[in-house]
Amino acid sequence: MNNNHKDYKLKKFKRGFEKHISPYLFIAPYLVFFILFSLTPVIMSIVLSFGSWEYTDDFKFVGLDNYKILFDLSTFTGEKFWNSVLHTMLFVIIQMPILIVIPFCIAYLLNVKLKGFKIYRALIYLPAILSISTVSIIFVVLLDTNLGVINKILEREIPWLTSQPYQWISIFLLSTWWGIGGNMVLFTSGLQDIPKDLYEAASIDGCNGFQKLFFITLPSLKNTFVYVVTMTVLSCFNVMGQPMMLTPGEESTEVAIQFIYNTAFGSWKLGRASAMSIIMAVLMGIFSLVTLRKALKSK
Amino acid sequence: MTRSSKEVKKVTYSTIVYILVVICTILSMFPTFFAIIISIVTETNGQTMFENPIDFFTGLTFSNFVKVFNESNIGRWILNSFVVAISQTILYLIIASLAAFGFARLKFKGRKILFNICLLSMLVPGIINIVPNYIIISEMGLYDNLLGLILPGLSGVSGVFLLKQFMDNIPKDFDEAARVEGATNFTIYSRVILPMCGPALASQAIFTFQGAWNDFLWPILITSSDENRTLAAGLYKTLMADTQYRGSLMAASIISAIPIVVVFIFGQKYFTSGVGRGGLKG
Repeated sequence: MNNNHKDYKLKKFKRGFEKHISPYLFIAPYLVFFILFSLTPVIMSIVLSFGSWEYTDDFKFVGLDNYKILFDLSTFTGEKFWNSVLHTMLFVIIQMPILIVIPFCIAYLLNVKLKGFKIYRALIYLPAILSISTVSIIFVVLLDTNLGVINKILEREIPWLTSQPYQWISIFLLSTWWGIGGNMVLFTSGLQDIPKDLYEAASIDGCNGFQKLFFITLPSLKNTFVYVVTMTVLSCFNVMGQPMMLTPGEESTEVAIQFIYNTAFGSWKLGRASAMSIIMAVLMGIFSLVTLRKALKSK
Repeated sequence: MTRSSKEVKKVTYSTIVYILVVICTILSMFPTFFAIIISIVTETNGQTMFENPIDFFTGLTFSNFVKVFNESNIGRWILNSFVVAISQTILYLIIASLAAFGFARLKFKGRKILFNICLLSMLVPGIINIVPNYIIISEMGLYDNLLGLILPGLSGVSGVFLLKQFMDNIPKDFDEAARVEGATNFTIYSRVILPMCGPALASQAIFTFQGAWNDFLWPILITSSDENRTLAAGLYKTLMADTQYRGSLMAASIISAIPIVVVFIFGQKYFTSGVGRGGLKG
């Protein structure tokens, strides 16, 4: 009698455990990391932005001072910060259309699926998987003023990395070469999802190539476009590696993330940097929403 | 339109497309091609070979690669990158699949709210986390430590989201059948659901590996000693330090590209399918 009672209690415990405790055990490991490295940082950034801290001294609460300084263009920091934001915006505005139109065209061409296109697609995608350091080294050597391949071929001495506007052009060239593959693959995936019947039906109705493009292909890719545009905008806003490695120390190419990074870990003004990162986050949010609205309307 | 003129049109169209694609491929291969070329000739021949192409053939050498290995810690950097990337991938697959299973299959209080909070983190740009994570990692004593590189990457929600979506598409009948036989949640997770998640796990593995391998900003920040640098961080310090020897620099870039290219060759379909996920289908 006693044994049966013990068995029954054990079973009840196991069932209770399975039902009430075990689910939390499944999500616990992930939640630990999430709370530690995703949630807490957001709160910390907000708190830090209202204070002043240089890591080796004590944290001082200064209210809106950081924001006041940043929004005041007559201060050194304010001017530099918004300059860097301007540079980031320049990058976004120029690079984003390039990174959407060209990959789409390439994906569209590759969708004709002629012989060998699988290999060409892989080769065009290849640069996208390399790290920013790798691609930057390649371009620094290729664009060298005196010894670079590009200048040898053009038989000129264009100062790609040492004076404007070539410095920005170099950054755009690198970012284009590096970034095309990623978006191209996304468009390929979207294009392959379009059912062939749609095109056949259109052919029977007498549509030509252009009409098919505008009335079948583009509307079907609406979701893809939204996703690609959103992701591209965000990654363009986060640009940092290209200016840092191609034109280090150059003021006219310093972008926002770079400036925040230098303020935080160069000048160790952690409070000021946190305020900057919050302003950037808000800017990114607004820009993403605006771009999304535009993209949804026009397509 | 007569039949033959239709054919002519089709062939012309195909030819134009083909030519355009080949041009794009050549342009895309251009930088890497020259990277390889410059890395396999001696420094001096590398400068003269544009005027005098024969110098390319007389100057063929592996010395640049040897030099890079001898004069920098690139071997160590590669090892570090592998350790960090592989560890992070394995750990993340485990905790993300566990969490995805919890969110997808198990009922508990706060399930929806918690999941939505996690999803919201996708909206937060990375720059917000840099300073606080630096403080947190330093306080944990993991500054200049490979663990400091591995752990923060485990907080991403993209894998949990992906795996949960995948699991949502698995019919619940399998769970029921297992439960009837007295299986625990963990048994269902490990014996029933997880084996079915093959494609999603592979695709997420590639995604995490690539992210960890190519990560640039965080390793630069968190490692100070040359021994602990990952490849991307080490290359940056080399680049900043010594931009003289083009041959060695190109050799370094080729060396750094090889591992990820090898991963790409073997996991090709998971790269492209992994990139194409997330809100596209349906």
